[in-house]
Amino acid sequence: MASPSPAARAPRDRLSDLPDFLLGNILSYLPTKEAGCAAGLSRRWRNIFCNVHAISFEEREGERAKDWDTFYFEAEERKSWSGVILDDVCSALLCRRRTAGIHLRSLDYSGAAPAESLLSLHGAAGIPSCTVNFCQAPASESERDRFIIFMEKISAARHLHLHHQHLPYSCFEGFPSFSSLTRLALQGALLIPGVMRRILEQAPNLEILTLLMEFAAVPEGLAAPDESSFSVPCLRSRVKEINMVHYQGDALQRMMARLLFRNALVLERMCVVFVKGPFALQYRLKKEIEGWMVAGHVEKIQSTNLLSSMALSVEKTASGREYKVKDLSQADFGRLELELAEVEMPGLMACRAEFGPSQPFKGARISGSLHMTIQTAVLIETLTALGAERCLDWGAGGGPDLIVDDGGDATLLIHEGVKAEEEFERSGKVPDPDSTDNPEFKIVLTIIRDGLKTDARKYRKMKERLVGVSEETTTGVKRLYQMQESGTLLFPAINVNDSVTKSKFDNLYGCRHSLPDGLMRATDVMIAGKVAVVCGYGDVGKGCAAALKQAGARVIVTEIDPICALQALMEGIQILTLEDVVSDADIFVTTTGNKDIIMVDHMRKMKNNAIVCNIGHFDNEIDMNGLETYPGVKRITIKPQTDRWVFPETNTGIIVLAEGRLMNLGCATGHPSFVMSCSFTNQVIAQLELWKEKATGKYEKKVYVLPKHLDEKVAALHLGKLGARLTKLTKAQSEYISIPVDGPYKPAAYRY
Amino acid sequence: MATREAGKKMIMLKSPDGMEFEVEEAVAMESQTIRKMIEDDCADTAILIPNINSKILSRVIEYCNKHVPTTGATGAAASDTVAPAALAEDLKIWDAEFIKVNRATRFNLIQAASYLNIKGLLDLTSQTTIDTISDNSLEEIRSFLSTKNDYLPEEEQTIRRENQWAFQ
Repeated sequence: MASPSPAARAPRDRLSDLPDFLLGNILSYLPTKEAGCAAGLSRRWRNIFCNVHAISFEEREGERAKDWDTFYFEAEERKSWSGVILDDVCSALLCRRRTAGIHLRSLDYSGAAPAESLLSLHGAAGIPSCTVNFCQAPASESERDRFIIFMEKISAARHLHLHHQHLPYSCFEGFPSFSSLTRLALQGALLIPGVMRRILEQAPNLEILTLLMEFAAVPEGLAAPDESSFSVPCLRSRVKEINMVHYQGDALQRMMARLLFRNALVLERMCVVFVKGPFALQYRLKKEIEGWMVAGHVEKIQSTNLLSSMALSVEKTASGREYKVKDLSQADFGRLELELAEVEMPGLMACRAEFGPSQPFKGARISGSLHMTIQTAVLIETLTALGAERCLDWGAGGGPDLIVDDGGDATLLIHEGVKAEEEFERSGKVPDPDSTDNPEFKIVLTIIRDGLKTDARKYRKMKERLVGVSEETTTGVKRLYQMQESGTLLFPAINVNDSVTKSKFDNLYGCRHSLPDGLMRATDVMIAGKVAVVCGYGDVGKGCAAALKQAGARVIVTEIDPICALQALMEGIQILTLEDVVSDADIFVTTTGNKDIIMVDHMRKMKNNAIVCNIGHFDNEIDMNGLETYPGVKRITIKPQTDRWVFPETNTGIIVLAEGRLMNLGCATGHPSFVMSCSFTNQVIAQLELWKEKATGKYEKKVYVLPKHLDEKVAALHLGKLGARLTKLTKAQSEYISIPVDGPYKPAAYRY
Repeated sequence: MATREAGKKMIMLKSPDGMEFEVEEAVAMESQTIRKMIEDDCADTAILIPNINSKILSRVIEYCNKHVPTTGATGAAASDTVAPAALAEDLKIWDAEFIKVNRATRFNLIQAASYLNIKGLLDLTSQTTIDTISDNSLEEIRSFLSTKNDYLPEEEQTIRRENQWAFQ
């Protein structure tokens, strides 16, 4: 409309005096590009664009045609990504943010090498974190140039994740310098060494390198470069972590791993995730990589780190049994937990220090049946550190030499297996899993039945090979003594449970810790003021009653044994029968190791929301079967391991923890590390004893307990951590009571 | 205005220079700011409109008068004879004539439209302002606005680079 008048005659226009938002409103009537130009007028106008509230662009005919040619076959949503107009809209939006003083913190770009308009908007301001995915190969020289310009634009990045699958090697020739880059992830078919070196040279401050290798054919005729040529500054002095994912061990991957690890002088951590494959192959690849790591600089890497990351990816063992890890991403967390537990398990760590160098378990195959907790992992790693060949794996050809048992399940399996094999040989009869109601025993019988089909001598071979078993639970030990009585015990057994440092610690203090832990995690119920019934007053019951009493509950105990009952009374705890208190109590805990303690008829009579749980041995202490089959009963799962069961007649319900299984393991994390250290140190010492005496015939097919001095040693190993100082006997005192200065201090029958 | 039939509520608007304008409530309510005051019962007597002199205020009222929805007796008569589209066209021509004012008045109208929150008037004034500067070079616009380029040369380069998307 009106044309501008010459400056000299024009009265001063007061437009610039208007507030920002009004100027932004006025600019909103312009095509967006022209509005953007206003920043060039003067300082007053520099950031007005952030008040522009409308975006208007014009698309000229034909601008979109190229998109269709380029992207149509790729994916539908991509076809518009390089559209000039969308680039313009993006540019304008980003500019609007920037003029408002908001800088981009991260960029996630996916598409072709971007158009110039998008390249220009970031200015000099660096974006700290960039993910860039070029989804197609550059079609022309100019597109390649745009890729380089784009990389220059983001070269201030500290983190870069580059999908380079579609980029030809020539794209990397002008790869700019990333001087602030500390974390680099390269995703795509592994780059050839020349290109990789070029990239690493341009990232002098790189600390973490991750290669996410996708499958691709290895380029033919690739010559392995000299190792020393790969000695780039970042590898020499910066890179402390290298991760390789999808390592399958082809020529290029092995070449790259060798070049990287040989030159990474300050490496602190590494992780290689293997692709699915035979265990033996992975083992070889693992050994090879370990050999490449520069000696003297990798001590911070625990070899088990590599082992565990590797074992996790194995999905089939050599013997053909498969297993899966639900969530591999937990591995790092697991390692941290393990390191935490190691500090709390002084007994096991002392075993590693004392016996580690002599490798006493060299050649021994150790298997076991244990609750899978962090503490068990420390035990397994201890046995490996002492030279054991393979842990928790029956392996091919005959099975284990030693068994660490917790609950007698492995022992039971072999005994039942041998029994079934002999029966099968005599009469051809196969065990019937339906003959029992006990779900665990059902599994045992099923395993045996299926094993008979492939190898009818499997368990007898196993029995022949087996040196012995060490058992750590009250129930498992009881079963061993019964077998000894009836003369059916097939191999020597050490009763670890009756070491004082086991049953008087694990059972008592372990439960005193983990019973309230499980109760609180599952229900968050306030224990104080409640009436709690503990069925059984053995070591476990004593721990549970003590914990509940200390938490402020009124505790009532049920017992069959007059001695234990009297003990409870001496502690001020009432002794009644379950029937007396069933309708008054709020919390019921079974600790007996027997079956049918709390029946469905009891549960029916309980108060609404009474809590019923078991910390004894099997889930048959609580009549779960009766509860599940009760007519009209309704199960409401509040959260995993916490169920409310509602009875139809009264419409009131009870809360059952961990489906009647061990609630301290189901609802919490089991016993704490320190007390498990006592138990497991006994296990390790028992295993050492069995293995050492395997040829001497010292141990017959009987049940033994560890000698007193070993028991005392286990306790002694745990004193230091707690800052205890022992008093020493004088020679005169020692003679006066006829006890050696260094122990054992008590007779075998002493009851503590 | 005084001839309006009884029953139509009238509102008194006062400019800072002492002039009073009696307007129909519906007309005054074209301004969202005044509408709010009326709805909040702050408009019993006269409403003082600060910062807007009588000359500008009279133009604003003129605009509102024209743009008040044509309902009621007069509106019905109009819509009987004229189709709505033609009415809108008519209004456009009126607007174009209305905004033929000098730059100082237009500037005052922008401020008034903003303060009184009259969207139509703000649109009209902003669009007209844009029309006068659009399609000119930066230098021309600067001289039009009597604004000096106060960027240092290297600053100007940064601005160009940051906003390259707009300049190409």
